[in-house]
Amino acid sequence: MSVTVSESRNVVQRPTKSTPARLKILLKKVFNFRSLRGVVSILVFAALWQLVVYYKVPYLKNLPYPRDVAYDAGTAALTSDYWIHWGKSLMRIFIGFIAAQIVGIPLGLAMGISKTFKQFTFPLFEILRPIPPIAWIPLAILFWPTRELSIYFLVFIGAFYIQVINVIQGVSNISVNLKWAAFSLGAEPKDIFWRILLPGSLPSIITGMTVGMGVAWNVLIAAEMIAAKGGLGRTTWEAYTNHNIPFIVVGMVSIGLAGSLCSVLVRWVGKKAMPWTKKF
Amino acid sequence: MADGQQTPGAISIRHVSKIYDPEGVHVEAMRDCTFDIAAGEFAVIVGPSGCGKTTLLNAIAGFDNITAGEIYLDGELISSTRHQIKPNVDRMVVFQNGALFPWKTVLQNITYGPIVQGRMSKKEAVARAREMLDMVCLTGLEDKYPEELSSGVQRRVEILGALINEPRVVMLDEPFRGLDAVAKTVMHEFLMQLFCASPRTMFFITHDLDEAIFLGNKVVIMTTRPAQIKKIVTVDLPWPREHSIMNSKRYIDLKREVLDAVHEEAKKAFEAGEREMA
Amino acid sequence: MTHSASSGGRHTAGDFGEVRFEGVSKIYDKEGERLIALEGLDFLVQKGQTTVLMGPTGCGKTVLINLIAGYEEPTTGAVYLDGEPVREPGCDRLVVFQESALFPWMTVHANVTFGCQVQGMAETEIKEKAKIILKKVGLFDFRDKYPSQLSGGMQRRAELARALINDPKIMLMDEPFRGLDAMTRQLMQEFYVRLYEEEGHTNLFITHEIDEAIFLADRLAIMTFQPGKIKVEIEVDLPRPRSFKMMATPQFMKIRAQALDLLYEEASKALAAGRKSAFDLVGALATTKDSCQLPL
Repeated sequence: MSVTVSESRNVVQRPTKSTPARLKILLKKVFNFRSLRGVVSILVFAALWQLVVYYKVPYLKNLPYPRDVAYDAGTAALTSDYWIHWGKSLMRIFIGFIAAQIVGIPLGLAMGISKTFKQFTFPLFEILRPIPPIAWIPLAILFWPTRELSIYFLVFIGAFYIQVINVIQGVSNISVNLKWAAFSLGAEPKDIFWRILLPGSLPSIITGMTVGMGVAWNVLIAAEMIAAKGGLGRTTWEAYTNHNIPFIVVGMVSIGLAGSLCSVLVRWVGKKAMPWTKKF
Repeated sequence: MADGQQTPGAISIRHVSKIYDPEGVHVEAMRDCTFDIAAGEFAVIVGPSGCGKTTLLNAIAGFDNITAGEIYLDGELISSTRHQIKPNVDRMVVFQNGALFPWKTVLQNITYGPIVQGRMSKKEAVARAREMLDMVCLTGLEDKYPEELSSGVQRRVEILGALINEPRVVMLDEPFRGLDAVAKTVMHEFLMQLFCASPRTMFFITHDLDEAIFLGNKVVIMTTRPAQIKKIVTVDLPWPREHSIMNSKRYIDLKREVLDAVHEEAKKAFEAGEREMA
Repeated sequence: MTHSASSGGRHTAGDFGEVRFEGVSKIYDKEGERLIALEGLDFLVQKGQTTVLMGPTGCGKTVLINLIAGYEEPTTGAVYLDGEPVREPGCDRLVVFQESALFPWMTVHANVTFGCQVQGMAETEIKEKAKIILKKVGLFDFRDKYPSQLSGGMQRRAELARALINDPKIMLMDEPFRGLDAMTRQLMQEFYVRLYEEEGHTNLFITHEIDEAIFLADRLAIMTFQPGKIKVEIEVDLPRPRSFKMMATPQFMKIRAQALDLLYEEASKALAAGRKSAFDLVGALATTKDSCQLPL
């Protein structure tokens, strides 16, 4: 009678199929009507772009041709310089971002757990937070011994405040019932910290990382454009000053790609760290 | 259906089935359901949780189509596999989660339907609304906003808002769920009063068996998924009903009958659920 | 004082868990407003019995549970557990809350064994106890699942297992089956009654559902509206073991009517106090027997 439901549910939930069957399903996912509509709109966009430049539409006529952009992208990808820029930007992101986590997460936890500590530190924190990371650029350049260090610092600022705020929120979000239940079951304060507070604030920590990564990229590109040697932001800016317009677009797309890759990485980390959440 | 002209609201359900997402997940919610609700009858639907009962309500109200069978209202085909009459004022639905406009007062909420449909002038609607509020002893609340009222009063205002449209069928989906025992007693007396004053067909879904037997003329017990009609129990207790009737032998016998049937289905649903989880 | 959940028999577990309230008051002072939740409350929760507490919303039932559990302290008076005053939370008094308090980041097994682990029990002993209790609640096959992967009923059972594995003297249940759909709820009630009848530990159970209350209880305690006191206690002398069929007996319906009358009385006091929920009573108190005259 109700076998229909259970069986079909099982098929959807546990695919134990061979590789060719899996491939077929993947292809079906990609090549169906829904994704076709998406592809069509992208093609229309590219065509419009080509036409706008070809017919010298006012204000937009200085855009490069899509074909030129594609050509420049192809040639750049074959040079080692291009990938060195990638490497430089990625290094800056990771150092600054990880530093923000190392300092920010414990600080946030301390502020979330101890009211006294928060009363001491929060006011200063809140005074400095509204300063946009980009506004820190001049001071950072002046005070850090090397240009690279000042860039790491700026990326750090971008991710740091966001992380601290999220962690504080994460700690306070833990339901009081959970803490009470833990106490009743005989947990000591150290058990509460390691087994309740830390895992409990993990979702907020991951949120902080996701948002922080986005902001960090923003800050990095701005800092590179203004003050760095090498890196994707720098090279995009130089394309502008050298009037190499197609390469500006190549630079932009590269930055977008690099940023997405980092976001995907953070999401992956989140999924691994929190196996108990079905959705992230 | 012989009374069709005098008291409207006779519902006829014939071999109705509903399958959700036939190409994809293929959930068979309802299979081959057939039964009748006479005009002016208070029918209560009980059964395990799942799509069955609400599916039926959606089909009769016109929110969703059916994949087999027909539904008739006073002899008129309102739903079939090919065609379906959109929801209208003939079949008013009162939902579980409150559909009062928070920015309108009680009076404005109740009179909204008839005024917007042009069936009554503002003056007539207000007069009728006041009359209804008076009948159920809720005078004094006309100018209050929903947030100022308890959930019990909000539900009652909603029910009045549905009834003022004089629908042929009133459909209620667990309207008193979540209220405590005392509040429920009050709700039952309220509904009973309105029903006795102007009888019309009621389609009432609930899980509370005491509520089902106390309020209904007939209790329709549905099976676990795919939902079918397990049993129909005719409640032959006299009207008007008072809560003291719950101590009578006849009531207790009816309760036992319904309880046995529902419990059997609940166990089946539970076991099926466990299998799905694993 | 060792008694294990698996050794069965009413006498072992049921010899503990007597809770006595003596002249307990609980007053909250919040931003200048004074709320008297409980005043001069005297109450005895008998050991080895299931006492069900009912009362209008806001009458202080949850405060009572918090006081026994040690989450709050009485303003005046004292609470005693088997003669000893209650000071801090401890695993002899475990609470099952309304909202699931399972640790979402731990599997069922980790949740259930949490108490034993923080208390430093031996690994092998923990595993053995966990196996027994998980089989008892029917979750042994789901021990490596996370709470989010379980249905509502299964989550409740996991919480019960987490509490019971510690052999508490008294189980404090604060509307534990609220939010479950009615079918699951009914089956959980049966499950819990069977568990109680096998183990015999002391229970204090809060609920709003009157049928649930009578089905589970050895005695029913009705609380008054603010300030909270115990209004009256009703013996529920339905035979054990209980079966759902008892819900359709004259005896059951009689107790039900009696309890309902008392709850009604207290709810009308809420009306007199002008609470929002009191409007529910307006219609009831004004309606008379003659209001439904039309023949059908």
